[in-house]
Amino acid sequence: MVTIAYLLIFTLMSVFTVVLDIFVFHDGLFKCIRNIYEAEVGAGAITIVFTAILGFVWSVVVDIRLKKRKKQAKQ
Amino acid sequence: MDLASLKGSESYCMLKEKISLTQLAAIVFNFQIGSIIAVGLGLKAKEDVWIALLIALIIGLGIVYFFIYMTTLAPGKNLFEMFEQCFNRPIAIFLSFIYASYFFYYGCRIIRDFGELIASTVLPNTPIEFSTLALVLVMGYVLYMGIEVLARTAEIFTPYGLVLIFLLFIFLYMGKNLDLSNIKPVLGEGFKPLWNVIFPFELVRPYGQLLVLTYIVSNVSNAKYSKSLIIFSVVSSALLLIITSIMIILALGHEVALRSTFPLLSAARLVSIGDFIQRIDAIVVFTMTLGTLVKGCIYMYGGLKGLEYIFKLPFRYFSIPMSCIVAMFSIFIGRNYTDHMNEGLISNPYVLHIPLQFGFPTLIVLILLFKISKKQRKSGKANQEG
Repeated sequence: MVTIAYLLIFTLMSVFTVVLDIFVFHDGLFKCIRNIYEAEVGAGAITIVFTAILGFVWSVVVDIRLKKRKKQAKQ
Repeated sequence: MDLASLKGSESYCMLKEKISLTQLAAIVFNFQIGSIIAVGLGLKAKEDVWIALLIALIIGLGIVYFFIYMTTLAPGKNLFEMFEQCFNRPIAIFLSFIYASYFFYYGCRIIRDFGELIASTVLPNTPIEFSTLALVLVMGYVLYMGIEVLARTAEIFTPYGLVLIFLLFIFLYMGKNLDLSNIKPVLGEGFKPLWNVIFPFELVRPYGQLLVLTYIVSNVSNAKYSKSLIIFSVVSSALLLIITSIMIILALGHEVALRSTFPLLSAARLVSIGDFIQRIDAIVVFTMTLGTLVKGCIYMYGGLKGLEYIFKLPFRYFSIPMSCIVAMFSIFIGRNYTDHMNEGLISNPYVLHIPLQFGFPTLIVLILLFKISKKQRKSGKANQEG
């Protein structure tokens, strides 16, 4: 569930960012998507990739622990 | 059962959190100040900034009353539970997703302001991604510990922040940096430019943002006494923001203030008393960090409560992964600071704030009122028949 939430919120936030970019800069959809990843401040920064991986791994671990706890409770 | 034995179990995560009235006051005060204190409020009104902000305060109080009234219609319920009371669960889930994303998105904007401030003043050689990630992970941990910890943090640090900011004002005055002619003429261009500043910019922030009350007040132990305290906090924080804006205009003049990225910081840099008390911009950075921590946490808490409602899991499980998303998107939301500011001024008020801060809440209140009156009519009929 936590992993699903992570992916859903990631997607929704991307949609928010792209829609607002379209509204402000009147650019096309694909250009706005590209703009996200061409951010001057974050271009090529390993910190961003590390953050994404950390969040994803953390949510997977939480899900695994929740599943284990459910199994234990059933036994 | 003590906390230590509960720790790690589901019941520990599901403990009902309670915050005191003074903690609520501290949260509302810091939330209102947020990152706005360094960026400045209503500076586009130029010399008449104080008039614009006073008018915005009067209208803003009406908005605050509206949100407090909204919480009294469904006592003990947060915004997401109100959705379910008005509609059914699938619609409530859909709306909760929208609002959760909105709260996370706004958290990103607050963090970005902080990151830009740190990158341009205190740590110019440190990448902005790193300073934002460091702060957001702290915020994630605070939220993992619960809103009580955040409330205590705000309660402890607020007096320090207040004393420091008043010290800054005193230093600005003592250093003879204030020029009274900067706020003249009064209403030189009439009222029209003021309305353009007030609607919608000065109403959506900081007053419309108090939508967050709809999920904080449900945690207050003495909720019935919270109304007057919230009003007190809003008025005192608004007055502090008005004084700050006046100080900025007095010290810098409206032209420099409008061009400056962080006007209060520029004003603080003017202070030089006897060539001894100088470089007191750390005061501004401290105040903004405290405001950012509280405001960002409150927005993230809103998003987490939304996820708690949707997935029926304690919000603590989501805190670190969502913190990572907030850290990432605080970079992605704008290619540079100019883009970030443009989005905040052009798109956010119309696309996000007006519908989500005023549109949906008004609809919710109308539906709640209709349902309550319907219930009262039904119970009245049943009493008559009985």
